[in-house]
Amino acid sequence: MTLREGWIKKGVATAILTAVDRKSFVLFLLVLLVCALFCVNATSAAVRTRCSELGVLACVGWPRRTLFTYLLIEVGTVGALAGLAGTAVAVPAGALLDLPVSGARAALAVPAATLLALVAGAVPAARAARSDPLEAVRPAVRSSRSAHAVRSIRGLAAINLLRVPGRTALGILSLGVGVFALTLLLAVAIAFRGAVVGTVLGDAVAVQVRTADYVAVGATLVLGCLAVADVLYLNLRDRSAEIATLRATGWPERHLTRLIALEGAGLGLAGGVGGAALGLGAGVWFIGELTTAMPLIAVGAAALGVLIATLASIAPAAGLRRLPTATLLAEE
Amino acid sequence: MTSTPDLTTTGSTVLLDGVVKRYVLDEGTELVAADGVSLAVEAGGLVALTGPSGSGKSTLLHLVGGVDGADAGTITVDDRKVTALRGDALAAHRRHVGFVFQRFNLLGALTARDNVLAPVVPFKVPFDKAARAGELLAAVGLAGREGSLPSRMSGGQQQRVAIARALIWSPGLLLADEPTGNLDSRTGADILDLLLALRSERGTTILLATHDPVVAARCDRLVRLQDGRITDDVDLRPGDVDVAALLAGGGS
Repeated sequence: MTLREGWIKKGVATAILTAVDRKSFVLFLLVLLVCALFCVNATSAAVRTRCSELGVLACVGWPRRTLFTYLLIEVGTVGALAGLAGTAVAVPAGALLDLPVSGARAALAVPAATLLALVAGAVPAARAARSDPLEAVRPAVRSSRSAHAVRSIRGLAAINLLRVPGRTALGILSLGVGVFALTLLLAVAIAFRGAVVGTVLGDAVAVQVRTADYVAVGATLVLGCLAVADVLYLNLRDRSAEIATLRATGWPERHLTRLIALEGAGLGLAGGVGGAALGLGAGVWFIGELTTAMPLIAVGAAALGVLIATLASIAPAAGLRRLPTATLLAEE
Repeated sequence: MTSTPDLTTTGSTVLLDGVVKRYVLDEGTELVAADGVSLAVEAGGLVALTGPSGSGKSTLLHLVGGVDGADAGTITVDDRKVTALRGDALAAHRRHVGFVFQRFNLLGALTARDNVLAPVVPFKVPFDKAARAGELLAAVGLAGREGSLPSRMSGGQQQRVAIARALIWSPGLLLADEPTGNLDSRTGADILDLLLALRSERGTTILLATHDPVVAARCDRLVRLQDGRITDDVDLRPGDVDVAALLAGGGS
């Protein structure tokens, strides 16, 4: 997006604004993408939790289509409620950030969120509706298909992430999108400053677009952080009996906490490095050159991704203490 | 600093004095799982805790093993007052105790060897980890199965792995909660043979919760629980006690 036209050329303002709009649109899409990833993860988790219930419904004669519709209604309702919440927040938030949002435009969040939830939830819902009822009511021992050697807490954390590849990928992708957006925005902003800021028009445009863009990137990073926390929380819930066993065999609490933090850091490392690398590549493509500042921006963004993901592990790790160890060990 | 148990095994003594444990159920009612339980177990003893479901067998094991806390009373294992331990000291106590569970509780992604080693993963230990896992698996009859995943093992084999895991710290006390409950009678008998052999070879004290009279009859002593209270405490070594009748009759 480096603009090299001389100021005597006509239409330069339009060119800048077009580029700016394109950038904002991309960031907006990224926010929606992270939201969609959230929906996929939430729906998959909900289906997994209620595997037995769905299996029973299938056993008593519910057709697959009905099960699919049942799950989609749930997902759609959650999406609609999220849209309502978004509408309620959009108007005051817009006023606060000096980005006026009309009521009618804010209300568009309801159908948009519902549609997004339905699209994101369709695949997990279809998979659940197709599952073998007997398998669902008698869940097989969850296990890995391949053997891994483990000699350290770090190794165990890596194995735990590999055991749920789909969920791990969603967490990495969600965080990666935020880091990607941050890397791209900072790269573009710096290039932008070199090209247009300092002129009256450039300053005006930069000020106008910066707030919305940074809000969008901030939102993707916050969502990425929440997605990592969600992945860790779901992993912890699924592995609660294993955690209870490790505790019963004498693992101190700090080592259990470290295990969860390392899983978060693992997600952060993959999402941070992946997102920053892609962001750097996109920045080069967008701007047309690799400036000296861009690799530094990418490294900083990747480090921020790791930090965010590690911080995201705090809440799930705190939940460790609430695990009913004795009850989990005695479950038949 | 890591507190690692002494790897030379001697049986632990266990002393419970007026132990009380209450649970609040969802409906707001209170369940008294241990109602002033007092019990002394000598080193190397093999004690069956029996009683109907909900009588407090598992609760007592959890309290002795330090995975649940008593509301009143004291529990002492060797010279450790378990009921007074917190944090790292409590975790260290758990390393002096081996746990075997009804549903094995193996880590599904780990091989038999790594399941045995799971308790020692965070620690530096004075032994070669892989070699020790191999020895323990051989001791429970699983030589050559070190690389097998739990999903590819039978229930009996999984329970053997769980027993090997429980022995990784060479504990003086083994707590077995319905160790044969998920196994057919023949496999269950094999597992019980294994536990008895371990007791003979290592002198390990064993507290074993079971509702199976056949399993209980092979122990030295039978402690029957009802509503969190000890209703019978019978020495089975003379060999003239009809355990099935004792358990069916609900009293001695």
